[in-house]
Amino acid sequence: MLKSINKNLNKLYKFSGYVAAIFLILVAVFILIGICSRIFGFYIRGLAEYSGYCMASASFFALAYTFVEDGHIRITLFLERLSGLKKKVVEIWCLGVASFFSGYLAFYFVKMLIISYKFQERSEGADEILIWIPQSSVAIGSIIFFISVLHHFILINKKTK
Amino acid sequence: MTEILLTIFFISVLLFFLGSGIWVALSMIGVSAIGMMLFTSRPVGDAMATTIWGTSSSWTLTALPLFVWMGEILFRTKLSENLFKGLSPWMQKLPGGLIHVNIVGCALFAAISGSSAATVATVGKMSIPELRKRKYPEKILLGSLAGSGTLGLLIPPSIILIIYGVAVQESIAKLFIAGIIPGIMIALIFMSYVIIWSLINKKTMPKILEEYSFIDKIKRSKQLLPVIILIVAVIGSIYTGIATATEAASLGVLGALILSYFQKSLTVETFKSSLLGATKTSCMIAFILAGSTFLSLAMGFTGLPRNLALWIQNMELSPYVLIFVLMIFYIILGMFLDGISAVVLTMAIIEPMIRQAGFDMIWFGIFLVIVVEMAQITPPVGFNLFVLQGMANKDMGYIAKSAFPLFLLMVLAVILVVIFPEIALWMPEQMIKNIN
Repeated sequence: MLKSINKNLNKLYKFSGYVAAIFLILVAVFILIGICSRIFGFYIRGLAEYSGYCMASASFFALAYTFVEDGHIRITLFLERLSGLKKKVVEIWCLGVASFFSGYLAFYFVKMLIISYKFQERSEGADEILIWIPQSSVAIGSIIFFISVLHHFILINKKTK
Repeated sequence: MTEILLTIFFISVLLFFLGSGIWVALSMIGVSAIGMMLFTSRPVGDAMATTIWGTSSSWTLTALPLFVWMGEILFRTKLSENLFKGLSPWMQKLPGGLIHVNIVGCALFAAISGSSAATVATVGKMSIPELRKRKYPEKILLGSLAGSGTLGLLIPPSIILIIYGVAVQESIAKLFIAGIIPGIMIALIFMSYVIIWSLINKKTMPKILEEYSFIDKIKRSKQLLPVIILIVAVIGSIYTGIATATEAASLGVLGALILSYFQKSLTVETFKSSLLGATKTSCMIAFILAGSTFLSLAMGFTGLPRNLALWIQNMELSPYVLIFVLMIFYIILGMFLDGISAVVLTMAIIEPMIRQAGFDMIWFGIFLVIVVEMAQITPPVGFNLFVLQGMANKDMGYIAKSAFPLFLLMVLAVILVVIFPEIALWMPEQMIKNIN
């Protein structure tokens, strides 16, 4: 039971990393279209904004994947000197604080999304897109990130020694 | 008085979070949330969400993942082989011989990659075994590699200059162009050092064995030509104003893909791993940048940056003294933090002070990057040292010691840039004239 949960969660992180990678390709594609549009003299509204949204989506969808792959920067100078129980206690503290604030982040991104949706807010840029659409990927990405941090918080508490 | 106490509390919590090993970005977000609760009655979480959304979706930031991706693609081509093969015939006649391949190779790779760890890794992959085979002294071999690797941060494209540009809202194109001459200058200083060192230690240097005719030399360097064309195209398009930094980056990605296709190193596997590598790295950076904009917002409410700027102004320090103090500050900070975190964490406090003191923000960016570069080769936390430790099988103390002369040379470079700001500012000024 527990093993299958672990497995599925790990799949989720990887999947969200792949989604992020696709958004990264889209960033490049939008900018390349922008260059072409200038050379050939056609105009597409809001290309710069679209690539910005893709950038935000790529960053937030990648959060959990980067986290489990140990890609986020932290200062380990102190942690490296510890071992055994002491190390575990400090790790619990780190993951506990991280769980709390990643949850905090996810909560307020969801709140921002709900407000944007309720008032049908539009972007102030040339794209005039309904802003909840790009904001939803940031909200989803930060929820998956919260899950991944909490998941590791639970895992380390279960670990003996 | 309570304000001062609260500020001290705020900074202490930040240092405690960072020191205990909480991820840098989350430390900044957490501390900022706590700080804002203490200093204002504004809705904290909502302000956080809007601020972070604003930075994360900004168009300027899109240059970041693209330049990272371009570097990742080229890193997976036969570049490190070609660098060694192409550069060595030209360098071996110089006093110091193939050691110069380290320096010139790093300077070239720096022009396609924005990170110094990647620069060290790519150049070192070939040059460490090849130079060892030819019996070059370890000390100068590793020292020159660690030192020149730092050029990755200065010669455009540079990740850290993108971060700085976004944080202080200055033109990334101008920052990139400003980094060129100081970068070349540092490379030349390093080369002069190697020449002098090898003349003094002539006995320990190996004899030259290989002879190449001029045609041979050209033949061996042919493989490097596409890369050089790519570099010139990317930087040239920024300099002439044909493309913005972001556009140049996307063209760079395209060029890198084409190049690796023709070198037959583009497979589904390398494409996927370069893309995922870029996704991870840029996510990590975007996240700490997001944290830092929230930190700036919270810092603003504490009044600390404003007060510090006023305090510095009232002291009527000479600009040289201020710059000297900042240099020491960043070197110490860099001993414990990586370069990007050091810049991002401090800009909220330092920026008003620098503007107040009347420094050119483009010039300050270059100064900052050189100083942060120096921190890459100082223990206990020096990323180039970490990379080399793994590659060369030597302990970090030894590598740090052999890189120390180059550290001193970089101090010299900083002094030159401080006394002659034109070293950094001349090129961007020409660029503006060109565009207008």
